[in-house]
Amino acid sequence: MKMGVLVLEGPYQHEAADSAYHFVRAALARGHEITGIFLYTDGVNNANGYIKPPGERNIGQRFSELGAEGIPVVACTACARFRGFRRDMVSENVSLSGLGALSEYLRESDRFVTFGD
Amino acid sequence: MLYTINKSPLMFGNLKSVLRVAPTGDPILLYEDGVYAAVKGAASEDLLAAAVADHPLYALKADLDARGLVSLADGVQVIDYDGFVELVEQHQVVPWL
Amino acid sequence: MGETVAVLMRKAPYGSVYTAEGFRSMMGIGVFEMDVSVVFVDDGVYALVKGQDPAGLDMKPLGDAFPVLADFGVTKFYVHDDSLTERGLTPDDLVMDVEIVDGAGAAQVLESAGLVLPF
Repeated sequence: MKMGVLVLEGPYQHEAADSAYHFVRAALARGHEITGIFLYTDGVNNANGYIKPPGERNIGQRFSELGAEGIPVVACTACARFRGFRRDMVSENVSLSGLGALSEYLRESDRFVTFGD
Repeated sequence: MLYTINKSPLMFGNLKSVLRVAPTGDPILLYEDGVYAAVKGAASEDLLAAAVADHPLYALKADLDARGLVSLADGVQVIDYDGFVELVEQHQVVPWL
Repeated sequence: MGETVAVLMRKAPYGSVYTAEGFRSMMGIGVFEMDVSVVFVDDGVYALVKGQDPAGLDMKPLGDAFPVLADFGVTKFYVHDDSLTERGLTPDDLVMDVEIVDGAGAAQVLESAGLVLPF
């Protein structure tokens, strides 16, 4: 099946980004296609390439790795502006885009799962 | 549809609120802090029993384990992330955030 | 697959960003010609009450913006009856005409849309 994912919270503060990651990994393991992961509102902070947590899971890197595996991982451009999140801070294999990307993932997906507070 | 709940029933009304919308027979998944609703002997147990009476009720193992929750109320089915995805294959999702 | 989507609004405005972002997503998705239904349940109904004036917070008013969504093709608004009444509200207290639904009716809207975006 084709599944899309929306993340509404940033890393560490709330479990949402962890849940989203584990869900995506399990969906891939069951042979599903992820149409896209859209990082919205504070969720854009998961796209920060400078995340370096000492001795802890690297949530930024997780999303970057999913991007490297060919899954579209997109952070909301407007949300990034609201948070002073610069283009050069975006992790490798993650990009910035607008709500058109979210619409596209919705359109392409058989299922859509949102993780947030 | 699969209704998913990630809030503790003793702090938030999410479970109560789901029960007045979700049609009988639609499954409910407890995950993140939502798994506290599955605890045996909690003050929310009557609410959980009402949920179990009308819905298949699942709780996510990784979230139960993380919180040290082992004594669960009757009718709670424990599933892992693989089971979560399997439920999503069978149902559209209503995240009751 | 999903040409239809339901936006599920359960949170109150101003206390958090979700009402504003839910609104923005409706515009954003509506403009891409998806069929959008909006369902207000629990504190989400507060988004539609008349008389909102967040000037003192230096925020933009949200309630009056919802009728504008028609220009973006978003015209289907549903409000959960019990959520209204338990807050001491009636349909006359809302900024626009909406369809009042019971719990089963709300579930029906979500189910026929298939994909659900919660805010």
